[in-house]
Amino acid sequence: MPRRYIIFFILIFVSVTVNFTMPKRVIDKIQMVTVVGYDYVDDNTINGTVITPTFLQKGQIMDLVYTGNASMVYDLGTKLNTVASENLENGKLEVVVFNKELAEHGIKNYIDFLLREPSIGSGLYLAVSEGSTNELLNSVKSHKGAGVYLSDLIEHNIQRQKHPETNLKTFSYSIECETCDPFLPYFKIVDGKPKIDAIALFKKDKYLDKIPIDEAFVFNILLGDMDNGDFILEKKGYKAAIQNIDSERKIIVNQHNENMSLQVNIDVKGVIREYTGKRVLHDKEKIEKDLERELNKKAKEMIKNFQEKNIDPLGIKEIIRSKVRDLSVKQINDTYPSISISTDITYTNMESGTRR
Amino acid sequence: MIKDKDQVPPLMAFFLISAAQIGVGVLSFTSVINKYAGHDAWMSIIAAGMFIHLLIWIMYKVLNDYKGEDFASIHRSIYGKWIGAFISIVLSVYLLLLAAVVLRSYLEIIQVWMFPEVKIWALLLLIMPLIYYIISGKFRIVVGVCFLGIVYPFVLIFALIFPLKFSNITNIMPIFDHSLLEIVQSSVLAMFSFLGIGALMIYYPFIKDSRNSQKYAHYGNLYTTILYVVICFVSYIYYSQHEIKDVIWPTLGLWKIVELPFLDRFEYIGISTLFFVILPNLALYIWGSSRTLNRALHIPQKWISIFILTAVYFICIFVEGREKILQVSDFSTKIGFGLLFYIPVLFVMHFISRKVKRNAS
Repeated sequence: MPRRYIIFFILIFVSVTVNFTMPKRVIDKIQMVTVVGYDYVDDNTINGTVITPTFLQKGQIMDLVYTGNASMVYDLGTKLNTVASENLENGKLEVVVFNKELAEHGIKNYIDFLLREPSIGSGLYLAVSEGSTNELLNSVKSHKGAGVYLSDLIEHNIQRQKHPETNLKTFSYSIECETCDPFLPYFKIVDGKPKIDAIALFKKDKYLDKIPIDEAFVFNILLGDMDNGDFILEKKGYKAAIQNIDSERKIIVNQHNENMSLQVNIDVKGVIREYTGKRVLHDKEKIEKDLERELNKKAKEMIKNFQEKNIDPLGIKEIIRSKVRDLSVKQINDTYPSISISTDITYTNMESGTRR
Repeated sequence: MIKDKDQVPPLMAFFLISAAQIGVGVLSFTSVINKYAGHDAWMSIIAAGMFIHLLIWIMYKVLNDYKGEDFASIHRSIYGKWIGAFISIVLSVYLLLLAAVVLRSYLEIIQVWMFPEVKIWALLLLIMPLIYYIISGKFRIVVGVCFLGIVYPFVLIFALIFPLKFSNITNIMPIFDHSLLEIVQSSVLAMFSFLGIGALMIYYPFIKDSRNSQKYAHYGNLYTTILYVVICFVSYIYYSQHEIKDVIWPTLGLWKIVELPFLDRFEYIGISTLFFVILPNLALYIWGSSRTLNRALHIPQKWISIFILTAVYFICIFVEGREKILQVSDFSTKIGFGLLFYIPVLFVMHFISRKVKRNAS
């Protein structure tokens, strides 16, 4: 009996001692990268900006910024390690920003590392910046550190449904999927601060166009079921601010012989938050009508715009694929620009705040 | 005859069956079974599960006829001494190989996801005494490990709620987009995830009132099927079919989206908890392998288990890299598949031999 335990002890001892020499990652001896920005230099080179926060004392963070050129994302990390005083680790990466020029050339190659690396989560935010990302990241002045600041900025906009749901997962999903195209938040420096200025539209992995963030409401309700978001209706005689509390999207696919037509039905239930006319109670029907007309017009324009550019950020083709059995993906992609899509948005006002 | 104090209650058949089935495969099977049936492959799992129910029923049919005998002695009485011993050796070699594959695949996950620099040979020295400790302590300890192997990892189910937020039900639409043949072809692949039920023929005599344990064995298989279908369903609405074919461990990928306030990378918790999933696999397979050899060749089980553990140790060290691991696991699943289809053959042989014996007497 004791002999068995002695052998056990020796084996365990050997095992622990041998693996004790493994490289350790003690929190004081590494630098956690929170945000990375990539700029286009030429087809083979990117300029990367890496920000890691250093804790000075309680509540105080200093951002260390490293920049360098490299051909690949991983390569950038190894190159910047020769500058950094501690090893750079990706485990806390929250935001990755690409500048517009790089995004126009396609970013598929640059997200491969993010998907391959086990220590990087799928909840990571990707974004596009209008100018250089270096400037964008340096423009953040906050005690939180640039990474957490940008991540919080995107997160609360998604929660309030100003910007549609986006992260690394949804982006890679849309790139891999044969029928859909991705979108990302589009940053711009306004008055020295980063601002989500638009929704960047992609054709596969290449940046193509953007829609201003003010029109995100229409984009959102076309994209799927929402329970938040704001819309400002400006008409002759009155203005009204409307908050969406519940919207449902239904897409009906009608197929007659070779012709396919789509009907997008959206039911919006909302609350009037601000009104400059007389009484909401009195004008309720007028507001509803005006709003429906406005939303329908904008939705139609938006869909038409997407069809002309042959991109599908709304996932309409995916709906067709899931509903119509005997259509190949190629057929769907071919017919998409010419499908007639009609919209029917209805608005019901539920409440008007504390006043009539 | 097995002593009364070495036997376990019939309910334990539930844990023995599902603990033997669920292994590291649970992390990767979703990107394998969709080869033919695509997004309809979750139906293939149901088909495979039903086929396994049939096999369990057949095994009980045979085992109930031989009171308190196991694989080795049944084969001796059907085929005679030499052929019976040969088939027993094949089974135990297969179980040995399966244990090695399970362990090596798990170590691969540790290498890829957690510690790329870990020394495999040294880490194995930590695991081997543990397994020896379990199997040297009689069958009851093995059953205990199987019980924990179902109970502990059960909490991981709740981690599947997080991916639902980023899932699209359109990914598995339209349902029945593939032909019945394709679904059956995929269900053949899905059956690889149900391997390990053959061990039932070895531990059957250790179950008290073993005839009554049949329903628990079926419940065990049902639990495995439901678990697989749930995981498969969540994976297929989370990933598109184009996406999932590039992912090696889709189930771990599902956890990448989990964000908890106190924990950024849920996978680490998941992978560590999965050790409780593979431990019953290892303990049961190696115990079964040594027990069969012991019954067939009459060598003390202690020395056989040490020999088997050494063999597993060296297989794990020499099989390195993704391709080699795949080759070995493919090889072992092929044998396992053969053994699955051997069960109906055994059923037929059993009836023939009974007829022959009855006529002779």
